[in-house]
Amino acid sequence: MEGIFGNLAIGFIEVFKLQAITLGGMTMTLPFNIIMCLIGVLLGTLIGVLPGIGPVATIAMLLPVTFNLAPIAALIMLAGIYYGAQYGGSTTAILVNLPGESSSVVTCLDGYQMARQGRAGPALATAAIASFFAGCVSTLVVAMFAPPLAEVALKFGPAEYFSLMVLGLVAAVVLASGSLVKAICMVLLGLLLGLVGTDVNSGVLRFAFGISEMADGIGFVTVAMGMFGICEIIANLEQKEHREVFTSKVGSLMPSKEDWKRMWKPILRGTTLGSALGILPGGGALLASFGAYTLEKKVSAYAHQFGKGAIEGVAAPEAANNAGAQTSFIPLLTLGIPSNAVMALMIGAMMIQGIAPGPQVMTERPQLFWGMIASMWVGNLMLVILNLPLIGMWIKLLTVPYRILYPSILLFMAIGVFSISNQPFDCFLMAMFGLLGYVCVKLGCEPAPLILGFILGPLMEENLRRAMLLSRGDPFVFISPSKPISMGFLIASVALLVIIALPALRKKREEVFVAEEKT
Amino acid sequence: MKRALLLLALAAAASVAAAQSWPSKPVRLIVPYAPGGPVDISARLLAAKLQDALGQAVVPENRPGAGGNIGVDLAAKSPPDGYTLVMSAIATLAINPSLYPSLPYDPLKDLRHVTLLVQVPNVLIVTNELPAKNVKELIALAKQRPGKLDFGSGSTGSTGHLAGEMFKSMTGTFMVHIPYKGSAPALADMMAGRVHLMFDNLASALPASRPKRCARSRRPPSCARASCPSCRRWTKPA
Amino acid sequence: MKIKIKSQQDWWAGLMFIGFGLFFIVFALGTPEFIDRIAGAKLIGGYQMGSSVRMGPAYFPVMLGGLLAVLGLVVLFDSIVEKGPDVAKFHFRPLLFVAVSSLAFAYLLKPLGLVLASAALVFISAYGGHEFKWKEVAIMTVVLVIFSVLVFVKALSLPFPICPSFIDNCPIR
Repeated sequence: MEGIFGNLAIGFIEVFKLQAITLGGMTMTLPFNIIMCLIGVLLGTLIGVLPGIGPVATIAMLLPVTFNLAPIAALIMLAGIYYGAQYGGSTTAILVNLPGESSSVVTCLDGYQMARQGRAGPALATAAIASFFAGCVSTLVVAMFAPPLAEVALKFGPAEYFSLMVLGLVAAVVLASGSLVKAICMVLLGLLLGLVGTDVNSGVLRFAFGISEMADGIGFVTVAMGMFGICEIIANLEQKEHREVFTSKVGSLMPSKEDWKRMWKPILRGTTLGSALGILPGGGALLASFGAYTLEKKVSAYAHQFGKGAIEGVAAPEAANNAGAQTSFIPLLTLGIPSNAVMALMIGAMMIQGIAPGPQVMTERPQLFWGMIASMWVGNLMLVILNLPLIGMWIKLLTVPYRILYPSILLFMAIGVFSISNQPFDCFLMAMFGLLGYVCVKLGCEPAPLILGFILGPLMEENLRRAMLLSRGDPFVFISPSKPISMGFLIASVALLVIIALPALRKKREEVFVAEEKT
Repeated sequence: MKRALLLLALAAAASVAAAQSWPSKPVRLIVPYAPGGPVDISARLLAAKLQDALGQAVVPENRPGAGGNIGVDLAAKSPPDGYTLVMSAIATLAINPSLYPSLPYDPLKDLRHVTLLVQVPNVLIVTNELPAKNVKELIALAKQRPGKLDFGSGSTGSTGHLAGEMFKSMTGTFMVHIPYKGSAPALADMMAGRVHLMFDNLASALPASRPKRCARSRRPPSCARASCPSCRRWTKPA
Repeated sequence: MKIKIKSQQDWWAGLMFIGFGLFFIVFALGTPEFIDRIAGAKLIGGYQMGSSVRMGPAYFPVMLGGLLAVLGLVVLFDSIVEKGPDVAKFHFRPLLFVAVSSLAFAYLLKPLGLVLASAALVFISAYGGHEFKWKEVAIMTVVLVIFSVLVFVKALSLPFPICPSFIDNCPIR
């Protein structure tokens, strides 16, 4: 324990260190690292708010700039962009139902509903507070348990990942509040759409219909912008009045006492789940927010409110999302394995600076390692201080007439989607998915399960086929006693499926009985 | 063995008109891969330096897709005025022409190759769980247990995959290829001992496998041996 | 006996799922032989099925597509048994204008530059709304164009052309 505090002290000293900086011929003494952290989180918030522009592209563009910075300042700034974007992403999700990141899809479900009820303020505040709390706790987790947790991450092979994906997909069904069968159908459709593109195992191009732009598959942002963004705009435009979407009264900015009481437990649970899943390099952090939402919907006393503006539905996934973002640094820092594209870029940034990432960073460059961890803590604090006053401004945005708001949203979406690979085809796909989303909504099918299926589809197939290859075709590889984790996940999936299906079945039987009595 | 893995070459559309005033407007640098990859990072570093040297903006533009073919094709079809450069890699110049049935461009005819920028060696790494101590023992082990060893790779058709297949045919062994999406997950599975060996480029393999005793290691014929916490690594100069 | 559809929504949803399921199966496996014989040529090639040990590229999609089609049938069956809501009215005007505006932006950006492409998007999409005031839309366009140029091209340095490609000496870069 003492060692941890000593190390954290090293980190904080590094973060707050005064440095002599020469800027345009003038030499000033500044706490340079903290300024870089601020720039990082500001930039992160900006790109998080703009739909379609993600942290990966931004960090990539900034890499040459970091070349001239000290390694610690560069890494602090890049990390700041990453978790700053997580904060910003939830803002657009809540305000205009646009998930810019896969993790904010869930925040849309209840956050946007809260905004429509005039409770955008509490929703945004809840998101910020939940993220802050989760960020603090998970930073501590990274500081204290990084090496042993990395060992846990290594326990996850293809079989374990496949079973985890199965559990995730069963959980996806819970995201929907309507018909169970239709939700499963949407998951399956999402899985199928996720398979478009080059097959990892054979290199065969699947379902691309000769369009070379589809060789790498359909981008998540394209699907999310279409199914959520475009679809929502069309749905709003078909209403008779223009300002119908949100109640004109804005309501209070901060959560009420009742809200606080309802959200602290979900935040705790979300943080725990997010910290745990964030460690897994193969898409674990992705599942964190979905898992947290599912968990809350099952344990909450307000389950009936989920999907209609339950504060728990914002608090838990936001906490999980941010906790996962922090703990996803663990595989990078301890094993040298990047858990997502942003982490791969961090490795690139380290290498540009002449640092070989890996476990030795912790012992050979304690200032860098602990400085970065301390900066995450400081960065989270800055974000919450920055975001709470911003809420007032965001709310004002909602009072802008919708006829002005929607062309702006549409423009930002189109720019964001176009920038993914600099070609018009992605915008075409976005429009197509908007159409599909509109049809689905009209037919009573919700888009959230489709999106989760879409994200998990390729991962699931990949791990299934890899597990079969590695086991030389033994189908029992997923439930063998030598793979207790995989077996546990599958048992949990079956249990969850039963829990989900039972009330639906019971309801159906009751309905049948009622119908019989009437006749 | 396989030495140059990630050959990054700079190419421009063929028949560059040599003008005195070049460059008189911003130069486009097409990166045929997604932002953040090794090619992209090198391109951005190059663009920043090139900009200083030329006094004109050099704008990197990502055009990912179809294993880099879309971006290179775009460069090949752009006007040959010297204002469109492309970062090409071994995949788009050498591997894809034999891998894809119909490539929209001819890397020799449609492009003028400017220079070779980056060379990254491929290394053979094995998991610590394997009793083999050097390449000789590895070959012996693979012959002893045909079809029992797995080798990972970053993707089907990557240099890592091709190097593995070449190793198999040169040594007359049989191992099962396990493709991954990028070398990071493959390295994770290798650290855990699920995959036994892998040919990977030094840049991504280095963080996971750390040479400690390179200097004083006894050198097996044409193999430098290094040991590391969880993986062992050999480099084989060609 | 005449089958009465009790839930229009489920009826069409079921048909949609069956359609998608079959679509993916056909594309994964290739067109069945009897259809090819009628058409006189192999219509769709399809991918290898493989075995459960070495799954081919068609294996997973066929399994999922089959499952989707079966569940689509369940939804279809439900629509006959159980009463449900009708399909809400489709509004084609916003649908059309929103889709066309984003397409216009996408295909105009490279030849005409960000300024004109954004203006096209804003005008077309605004026209799809309930109210269209020339003055308001014009002001909005100017503000949005300036904002996009500053934020996306200048600050985030996205490689978008600002001006039309046929103008050589553009005043703003």
